[in-house]
Amino acid sequence: MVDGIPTWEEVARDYGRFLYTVAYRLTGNDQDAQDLVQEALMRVRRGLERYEPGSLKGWLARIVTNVHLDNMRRQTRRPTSSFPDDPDQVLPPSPAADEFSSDLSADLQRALLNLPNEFRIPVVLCDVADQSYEQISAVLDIPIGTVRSRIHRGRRILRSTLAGIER
Amino acid sequence: MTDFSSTNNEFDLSEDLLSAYIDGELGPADRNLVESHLAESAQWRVVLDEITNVRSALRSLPERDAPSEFWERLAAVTDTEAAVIDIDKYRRRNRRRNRWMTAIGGAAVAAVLVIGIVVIPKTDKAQPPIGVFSNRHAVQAVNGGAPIVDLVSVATRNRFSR
Repeated sequence: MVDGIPTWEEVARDYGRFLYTVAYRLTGNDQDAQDLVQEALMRVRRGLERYEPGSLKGWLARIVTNVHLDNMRRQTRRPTSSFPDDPDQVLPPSPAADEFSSDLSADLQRALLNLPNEFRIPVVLCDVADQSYEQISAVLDIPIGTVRSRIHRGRRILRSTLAGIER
Repeated sequence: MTDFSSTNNEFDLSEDLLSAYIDGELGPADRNLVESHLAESAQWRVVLDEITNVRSALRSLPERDAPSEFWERLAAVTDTEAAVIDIDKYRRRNRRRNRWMTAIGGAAVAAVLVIGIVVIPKTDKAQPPIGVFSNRHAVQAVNGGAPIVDLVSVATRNRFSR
């Protein structure tokens, strides 16, 4: 790291998993997540010279979201499909996740993927990438009130979907 | 942190406000109002629990990672891209240098021209003797070597007429 600016190798090594997790929650499958991370890291490499030390995770979340939005705009060719988490590629769960079964994880991922993008992206940025409303507002270029509303509506849809699955 | 509703005299608790409360995104005034509503309403506490559960489930989704081959492939691809970027930088730098060299060369030529035109004094002040020259080459045979301007008198003398 030079003057607070990480090298590309450091970003890939230390934040690759973070990028991949966000990408996977946005796209719902490994192939698209890999494409997304690859393009995002290319942009990271090109943009590192201009990176101003600050919230690196915020900057990376912005890049991966922008790549995803660009892909969504272009993408009419291949509808996304959801697959349950592949146990081989799921990392050991954090202690906080112990109470949630892998079934819930797969159901939630499916429900997440069925959310319209306008709700899914703010929810993923908030609950997966751990971004503040202000940061999400900046990434998506929408007012903070809209961020709040979309996160809530997204969660409410997820709640209804999961409640339907439980019944 | 933002107070979304503190300017209203009537405070209506909404679910999205509750969601923002759970996220720690409310300013102190709204946070106090939400908490006083929750203290009074069991119904809102149920809603709070529901939103909290969904949020916790989302935040507990396991991390994912790509297979190691993906990272190896990516490293190779980005190394190639880095090489391409370096070549582009070299070309851009070269183009910039060429532009500078052209500009400097042009300026040098212009300077030489200016010096040649303005600074070096003119030394050729000779005036051609036009009168003498034209007299010498005028038609002289008609008048025995006399200048052509004298032909009028010759014509008169020899009675030329139409």
